[in-house]
Amino acid sequence: MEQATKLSSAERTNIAVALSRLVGDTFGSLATLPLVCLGELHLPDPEAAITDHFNLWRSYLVVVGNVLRTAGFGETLPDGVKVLTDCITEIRDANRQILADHVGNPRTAVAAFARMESAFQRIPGAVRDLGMALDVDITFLPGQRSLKTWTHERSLRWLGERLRDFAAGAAGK
Amino acid sequence: MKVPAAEVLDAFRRNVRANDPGIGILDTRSGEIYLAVASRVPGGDHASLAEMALGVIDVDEATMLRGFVVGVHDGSWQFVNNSGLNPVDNRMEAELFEELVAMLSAALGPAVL
Repeated sequence: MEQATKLSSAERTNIAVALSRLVGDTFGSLATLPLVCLGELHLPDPEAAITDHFNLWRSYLVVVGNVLRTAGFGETLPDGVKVLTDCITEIRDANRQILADHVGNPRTAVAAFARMESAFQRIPGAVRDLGMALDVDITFLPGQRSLKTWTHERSLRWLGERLRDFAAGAAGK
Repeated sequence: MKVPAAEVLDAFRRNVRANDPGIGILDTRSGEIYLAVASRVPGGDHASLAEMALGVIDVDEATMLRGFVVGVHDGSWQFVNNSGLNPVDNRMEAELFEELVAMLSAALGPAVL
């Protein structure tokens, strides 16, 4: 809690807003990116779409880092920032792998999905840890009965099932 | 089913991009269709659009909502029957989706980007 005392109320609010957008946009991407990666939604440059999403997520963590540095945290940022950076990087990389391999090498795509699923699961905990360490309000995290949590889980499950179908189909040939 | 207002359709046509698709919700109780470019909705997903357009935040309130995605492919609108809102396998009922696509295709007109 010593770190939290360095932050003003405005700085805490800025961090909360950035984390809220990070969570919203990362999980929200499950509405469209799985369809892009599986070729159900045709985009001219699906790789660029994945990168655009990642750049947006990363921009929120840049805001968090900048607020903390301005508040005197120096280059030693709380662990949660690194965990979240790792999570969004894993999600980006898994999306790229699924896009590239879901037809030709579906078992690789299934493995990428497992990494993606794990990364998504780690995000709320990392946000809670950051909230605790910095005394930032994280009530924006959707609850278990919220529509957001429900739809995101269903979209993620749908992607996993499709990829396992691809892998089972390939194994049966 | 009701066609979205002309200004909603105009804004959608103006802002949708080949690499920036749209998302939509059908409220099966009222027949209203809510349509937006994903990047213009905070979160960019159906649940966020449902909250923004209808104030729906709980699962129990959303059983009558159906979701879809709209892209542009080879100069035509591309409708994808997929959303975490939908009842089975993330898909809405086929007849409902067919009706929705016919209505929205006619309302949106040619996909000129």
